[in-house]
Amino acid sequence: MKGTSVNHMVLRLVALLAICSSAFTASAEECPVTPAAVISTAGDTNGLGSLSQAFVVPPGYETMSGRVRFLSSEWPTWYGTEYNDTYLVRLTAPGKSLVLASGNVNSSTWTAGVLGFNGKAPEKNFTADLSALVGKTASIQYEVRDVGDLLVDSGLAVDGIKVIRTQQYVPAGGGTLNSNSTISGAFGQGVKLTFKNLNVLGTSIQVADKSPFGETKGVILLPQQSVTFHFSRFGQEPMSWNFDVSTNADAFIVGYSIESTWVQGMPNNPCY
Amino acid sequence: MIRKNIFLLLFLILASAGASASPGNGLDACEGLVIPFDGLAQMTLDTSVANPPQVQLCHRVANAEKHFRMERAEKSIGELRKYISEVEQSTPRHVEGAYAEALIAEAERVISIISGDVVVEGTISGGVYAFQTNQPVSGALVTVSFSGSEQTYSTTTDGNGFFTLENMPITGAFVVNAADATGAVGSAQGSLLPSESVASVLVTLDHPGSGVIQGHVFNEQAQQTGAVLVTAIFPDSKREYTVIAGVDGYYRFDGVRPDGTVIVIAFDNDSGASASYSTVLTQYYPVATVDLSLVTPGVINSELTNGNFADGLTGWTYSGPVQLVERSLVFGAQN
Repeated sequence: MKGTSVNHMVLRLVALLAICSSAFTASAEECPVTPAAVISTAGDTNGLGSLSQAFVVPPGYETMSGRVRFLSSEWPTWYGTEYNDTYLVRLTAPGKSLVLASGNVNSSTWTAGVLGFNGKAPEKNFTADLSALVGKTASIQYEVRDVGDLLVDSGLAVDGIKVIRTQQYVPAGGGTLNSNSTISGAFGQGVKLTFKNLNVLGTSIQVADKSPFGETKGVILLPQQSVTFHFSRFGQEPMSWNFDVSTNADAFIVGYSIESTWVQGMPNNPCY
Repeated sequence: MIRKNIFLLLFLILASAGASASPGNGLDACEGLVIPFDGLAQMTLDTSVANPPQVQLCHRVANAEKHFRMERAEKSIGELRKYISEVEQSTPRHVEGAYAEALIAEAERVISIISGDVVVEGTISGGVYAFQTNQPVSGALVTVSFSGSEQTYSTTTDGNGFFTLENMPITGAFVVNAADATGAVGSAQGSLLPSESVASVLVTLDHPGSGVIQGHVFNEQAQQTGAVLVTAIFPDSKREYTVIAGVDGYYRFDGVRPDGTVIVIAFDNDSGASASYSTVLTQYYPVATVDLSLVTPGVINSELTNGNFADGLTGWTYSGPVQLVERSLVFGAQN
């Protein structure tokens, strides 16, 4: 009888927690519905489709992320030829120029297309660290360009840009590594991994987001030097992350810390 | 004293009247300033700062930059101190409180740099690897060049293929060239900024190919312009090359591998203006001439605007057809 009473209390507590949780969790229906933009080479006499925005980077901006999808009618007929249309995503500011994504017909894998294009390539995510550009005018530029002819067109689908502000990142763990390893966990759409070389020797470090469209980033770390890698994905929070951390240096001792836009205890976020 | 105040009043009235009349309104004093003044200038243009005192603050920053360029550091700092004082006097009536703090912090940071309290030298480290095997290359000669400067800095890689160069000038984008004893060469680009004074660059070495990419870089007045970084990217092979164009705007990549489609990007380090073009380089067409015309953004938003296209294409600039489509037609909900 006593056990049953305790069970009832536990059930009530669980139910209460579920109600509270649902009260603080937005439903997917409440998420804003936004479109994607598709730029195209169709009809442009220079064979160029472009979309860009210049903006001053305000204090507090830390990470900018987005995703694109290359579309083309060069595939399948003209795949492997010189009709090798390209796309490019870049971020420029005085003192800094970054290529965030680039590719062409022949270097892409293709499946049946959409929106009138014969083929579509896989989605590609990109993430850029804006913290060093605060106060500067930055420009994000998407381009798709015909190569070899103007007859067969390509396009670039552009999803909305997300900006993650510094205060949105919350500590989410850390540790030390002394060999090739995997860092896994349930985190948010934005994840920041900071590594510090604890060895007296320099080391290389490469971090690969193992999700289907994940980015791979790497640097050389001097002794006691730190580096922060920014990653982001589109999807509901929390989401499962797996990072492969690797080195080709013999001596490898790094400390790391994780910051994320979602940590245990936060309400789920169904909006992507 | 009264006369001085009248002149000041007249100056402020004229400045504010001009500001509302046209783009050439005195705020252009905040445009095109060099590092480390550029950030403060851009922050001053934010809508959180009313006019007046916005024009006057722009002139303070411009004057500080001018004195600094003429090696009059004390006068430069004096202008920045006046800037801080004027921000304080204008807060909160004409400058939002939280934003005033950011402006003052940035001005103090610039003063620290000018006065030498902050070490403004940067560190460039990196690794040199063989393109085919991804193995580190020891003993490779590494040379760093900055756009707009004749000065170069050299070192060699250690047994792990690593290199380090300290006390580098923080002037933005730079090019790293590397070569080993077998004749393999490679290049890459990076950047050093006041708030990002450590850079890491990876260079891959390969034996030269038979291709050549050359051309001129032009500014928006259609004049050849130099001290511009030019990067060539081959998406098929992932090879990249970077050079700095000469003062006449001419650039040339020799020994390029003709790996198919190449994307060529020009970048003006001082202004951030850029250009790109795509062409083909094959063993049958190993020479490409690509002229690039730099473009400076015509419209600058005070921050990222309408990044998710919820408001159509407001805030964006485009060429060629642009279609807004249901997002789920092209992108997955989870990736």
